[in-house]
Amino acid sequence: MGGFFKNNPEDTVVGSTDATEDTINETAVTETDSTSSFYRGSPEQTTVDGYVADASGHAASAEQYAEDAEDSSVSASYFNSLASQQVNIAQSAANQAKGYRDSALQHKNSANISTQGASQHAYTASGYADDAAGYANNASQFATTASGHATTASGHATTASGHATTAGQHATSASNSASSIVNLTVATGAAGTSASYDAATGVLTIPAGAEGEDGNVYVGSYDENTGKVNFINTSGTNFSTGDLRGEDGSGFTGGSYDSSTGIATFTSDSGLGFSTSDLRGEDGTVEGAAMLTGADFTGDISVPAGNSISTDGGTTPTLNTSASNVTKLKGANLTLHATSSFHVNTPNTATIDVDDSNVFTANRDQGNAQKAQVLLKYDDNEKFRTTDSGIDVTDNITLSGTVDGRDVAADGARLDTMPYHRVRYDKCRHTDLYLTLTSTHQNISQAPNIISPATPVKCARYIDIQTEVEWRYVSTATNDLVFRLEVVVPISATVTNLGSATNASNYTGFSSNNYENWFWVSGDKTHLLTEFGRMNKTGVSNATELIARAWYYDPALQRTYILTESNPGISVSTGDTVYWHPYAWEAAGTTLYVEEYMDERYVSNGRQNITLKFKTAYDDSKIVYRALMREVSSGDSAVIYKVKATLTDVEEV
Amino acid sequence: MVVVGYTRLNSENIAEIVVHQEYDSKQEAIEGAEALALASINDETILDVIRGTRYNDTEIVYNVVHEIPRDNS
Repeated sequence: MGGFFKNNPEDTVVGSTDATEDTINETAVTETDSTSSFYRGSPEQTTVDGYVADASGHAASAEQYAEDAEDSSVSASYFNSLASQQVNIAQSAANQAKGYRDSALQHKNSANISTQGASQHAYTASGYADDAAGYANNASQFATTASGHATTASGHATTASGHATTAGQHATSASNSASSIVNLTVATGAAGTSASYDAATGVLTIPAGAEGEDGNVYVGSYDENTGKVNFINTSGTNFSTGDLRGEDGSGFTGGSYDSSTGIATFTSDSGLGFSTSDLRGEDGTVEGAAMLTGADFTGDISVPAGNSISTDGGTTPTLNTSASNVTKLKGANLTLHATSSFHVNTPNTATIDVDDSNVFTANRDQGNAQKAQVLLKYDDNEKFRTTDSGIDVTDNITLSGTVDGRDVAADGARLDTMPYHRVRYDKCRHTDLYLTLTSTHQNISQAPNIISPATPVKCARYIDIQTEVEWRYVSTATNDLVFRLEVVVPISATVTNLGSATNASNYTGFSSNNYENWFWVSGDKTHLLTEFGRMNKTGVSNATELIARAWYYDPALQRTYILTESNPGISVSTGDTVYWHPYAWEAAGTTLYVEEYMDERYVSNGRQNITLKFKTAYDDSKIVYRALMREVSSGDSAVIYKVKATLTDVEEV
Repeated sequence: MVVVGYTRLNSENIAEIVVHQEYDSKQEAIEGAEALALASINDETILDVIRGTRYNDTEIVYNVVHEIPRDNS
């Protein structure tokens, strides 16, 4: 576009940012472009025309270059020495021509894009036209289908009319037949004649039948006195049978046994009756199986070796004995063998006595692989059990003696008064490996952390830091050191309710500065209080926190006095409930710190020994400490030699 | 009031504490301190970012360190 409109004013150049059709029409210069033979900015030109013309120009240029290239090639063949060079030039020209051709095609495509709108609308219009034609065709088809349905309906109507006519005819015939049957009269004709019907009178005549002969019926009965059956009939041809009963039989009619005499008697109507003699035998020994029910034995029951007394009847076979006598199961080696369970059932007291100095033993049967054990229960709850490793006892053991010579109760009472106490000693820096201090805090321990392990009970936790400082030189008036002890908040910190506060400002013996005031709570709370903890009056985080600036326990009054802030919004009044958090309600992992400032003590070739003691928290958690030091002024030079830490845990009893 | 401050070396190479900002709540102060620690990574003149409580017109007690996440390796 630039070459094509390069001499026109900007607002007449088609495609420029300032050009519009109006500006082109109004201010276009109507002179001929010598390159493209196109009128620049003529009123008729449009953007599309411009692109097309420009594309045509490039195409012409491309063709011209192609021809030039061809000519150059011909010339090259003529000039053998320059042929190769000329061919390259020709190829270059040809490539350039292709480039122009491609550019021309791009411009042409741009022109096509501008005409796509009109084509799109035409296409859309054509689509609507096609849709309209389609709808018209559909309407025609629907009309044709409707006409067909109408014709079919007419045919069905005609057929239905025919059927209706036929139905009417059948109905008339049926009605007539029904009327004739309803009006039928029946008459009886002479015997032997044929049946006839007179249509004129409507009478159906049916002839009577011939008369039959009388019947001959016998009635029989049995006479139990004579044993005969008698038959009679109305015609007088009665008859009777002979005596149908047989002769009387013979046999026994009954029998009885008299247990007092042992005689059995049998009776008979035919004289066959008789009585036995005494059938009872002599008393004696019964051998073989005795199937007895309810037997009394007056002597011993002996069972030969290798035999047994077995019971297999009833739900609970029982060996009963007299309640007033002692029942014994005796034997040199007596075994009570229960395959499922063994019960001693008594309403009162069951006692197992072991004679003399023998031992009652529960032991594994030599033939049994299972290990025997003794289990004692009370009210069905296990209390005592022997095991592989010893015995298990459930619940309390009450002793009147000792355990391995120790009076357990007395020892326990003594232990109750002994607090848990543990001291650990860590050497945190080697003697000859010194650390040069700077104005930035540095960990004076060679290990990054000093760790106080968890304790089995809550303890007051103390850390003592001992180190040696050597001043190499001093060059400023501010020659101080700062020691910082950092504590990482553990995850299980808990809040303690210190109780209800009472203002102690009127008590004598206590002094306070501005913005400070004393109060007291009941009991000894001093083991809780540290420089790291804080108080508040809600027990939850984000409330105003107070520092325990000083504290004191009065054993006579059993009160803990605490000095804290006394400012508007930060104070404790009588009746306030005060809570304590050992880590100032900070989240686990937060680093708390306390700093101590120390004066320099410059001594030539000498060392200053520093010992600091901190109380950190009343806690049972593992506590991680870091010991750091720096100089206040970077103009001095001090070094740190050996560092030692002593960790002490003391339970409050 | 919860106070966020920092320690720096002054022109006489003496470390001093500067109050950065005061907040009405602890949570706001924690967020402010963490932001200051992150912003101080490349400012080596800031030694510590610390947090504490103002108890009166003249007294601020600092008790929490917010580590500046510098790579000291």
